[in-house]
Amino acid sequence: MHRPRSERTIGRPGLFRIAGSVAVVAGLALIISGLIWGCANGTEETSVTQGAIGSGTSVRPELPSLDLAAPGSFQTASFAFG
Amino acid sequence: MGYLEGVIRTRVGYTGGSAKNPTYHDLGDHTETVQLDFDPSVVTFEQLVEVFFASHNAWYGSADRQYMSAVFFHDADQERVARAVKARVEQRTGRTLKTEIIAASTFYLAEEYHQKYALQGDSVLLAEFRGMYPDLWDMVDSTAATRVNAYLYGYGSAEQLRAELQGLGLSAAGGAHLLEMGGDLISCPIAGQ
Repeated sequence: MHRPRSERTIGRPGLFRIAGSVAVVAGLALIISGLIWGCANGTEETSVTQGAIGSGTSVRPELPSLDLAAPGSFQTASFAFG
Repeated sequence: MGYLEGVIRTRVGYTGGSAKNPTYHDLGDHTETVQLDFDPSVVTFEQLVEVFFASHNAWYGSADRQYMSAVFFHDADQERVARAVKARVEQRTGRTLKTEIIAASTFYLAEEYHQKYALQGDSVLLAEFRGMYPDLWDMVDSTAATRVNAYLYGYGSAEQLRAELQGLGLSAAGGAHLLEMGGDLISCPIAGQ
């Protein structure tokens, strides 16, 4: 048998409604603060050396120093060796 | 040539012809070519041309344009130097070289599996480089990968390999593997390289 919504509510409906609203507001506040914190720190790239475990961040292996030292200015040559 | 100090990166491809977008199985009138970027303050174009002539047999030539010997010059200086070195080698040997000296034109990169061929054939070292360079074309542009590819072909000196090992980005196991694989390295044709 279908009962009105008010009859299905257990205990003190007003208190639960208030508590739920507070929880939603608190949750939203946490999400927004998290986003702000993340954006504020977003320009810093997390670099973890190879082999780091359990840090919770993405692992990016170190690039070879030979590559990091490669000059940006160069000339090009082309050869066909037959 | 990837073992030479001053060579920054190498890539293989097709050039010299008129066909658009050649592939290995549909090369048209192009020639298989190695293109490299180099630091002229470390190795000169003239030294590279000397190594080029010392590294292959250019006296017999090829009837097939796909496999002809050629220097594709990128500017007037390179043309002048290439012709001068060719004349010098011919004078020194008393034989005519079949090498053509042609203006560089559109260079089409060869397929992925042709690039850094020796490195791609070594599963241990390839895994390490792909860890550093998930994008294969980034690996192709890597100086370290260029060196390792040359060492795997047997070029360069053992002294150079040992001196560069720390800069190649390999793990201890990867470095040991490379030292083992590059045990019989060929000496560099030009002094000091």
